[in-house]
Amino acid sequence: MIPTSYLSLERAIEAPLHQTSLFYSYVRRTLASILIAQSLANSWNLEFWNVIGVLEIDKRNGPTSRTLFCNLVVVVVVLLHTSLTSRLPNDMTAKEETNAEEQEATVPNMSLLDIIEGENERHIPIAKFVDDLEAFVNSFTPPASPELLIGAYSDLHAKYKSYEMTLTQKRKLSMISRVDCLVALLDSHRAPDTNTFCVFRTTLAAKSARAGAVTDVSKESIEKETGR
Amino acid sequence: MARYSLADNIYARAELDFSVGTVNLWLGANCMLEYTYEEAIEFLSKNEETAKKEFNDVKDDLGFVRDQIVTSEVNMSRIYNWDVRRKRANNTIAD
Repeated sequence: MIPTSYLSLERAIEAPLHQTSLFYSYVRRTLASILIAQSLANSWNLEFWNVIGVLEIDKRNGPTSRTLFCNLVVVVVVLLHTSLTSRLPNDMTAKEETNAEEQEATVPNMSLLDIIEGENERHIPIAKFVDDLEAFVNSFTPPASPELLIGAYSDLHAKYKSYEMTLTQKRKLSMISRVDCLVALLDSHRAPDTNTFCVFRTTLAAKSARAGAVTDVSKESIEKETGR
Repeated sequence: MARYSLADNIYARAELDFSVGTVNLWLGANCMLEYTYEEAIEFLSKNEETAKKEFNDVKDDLGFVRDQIVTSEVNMSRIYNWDVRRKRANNTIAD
């Protein structure tokens, strides 16, 4: 429909202009100018230069009222065309982006609540064991990406590790053994005849009695007497 | 005679006078209180009971948390392997 050759178009519009009616010449000239403008826009990839190109073509026939009117129409048409063509790619891009997003759409963020199932009696979250991964991934809308799931489980893992460290520090074995020892020591003082073997520290032990006999504190002796 | 911790890695012998019938317990926070043997035994027994209970709780929690850590690690591995298998299958179909 749109001619690609600029020169053939120019020749096509020159001949009929002198032989046809006024209305027909208006229509023909306007259409031809639009086609030329469109052709120029397509071939040179320009926007306003096509308008200037059309005006220069019409100057060859003299600045008549018909030419001026046609040029005005062409300017309006080209401006509309330009605005349309400049808008179209954006719309197309937006549509393509939307399609791409729909195709690649995944859950942007994931709560830890999605990967735990309740908590135990001491309020520690229970990590959900995923048996059917396909079903689990598709249970989100849109489906969750594996990267996101791994990231979520990684976060949960880090929290568990942190809690594990806290619990390890809380396990005060030495304190318990020391308290145990003190109780035994005091017991021995209440009953003076008995000797009580105490482990003050892991490397220190003592026999305590009213008589005050301090005996062997070697490891073997401790193990033998305490049975630990 | 008793051996006691004078400082870190330093121990000393001390002769204790048990005729007084009291013992001083260091409670912490710059506080030391004098107890009779009976009171001290009661106090320390209570502390011991609490500490043992706490120890058992912590031991249980630690076991539970370690189970959850294992579950998380297994899940991560399974998701990763599943993703690799899925991508490989998609590539095979595309070829």
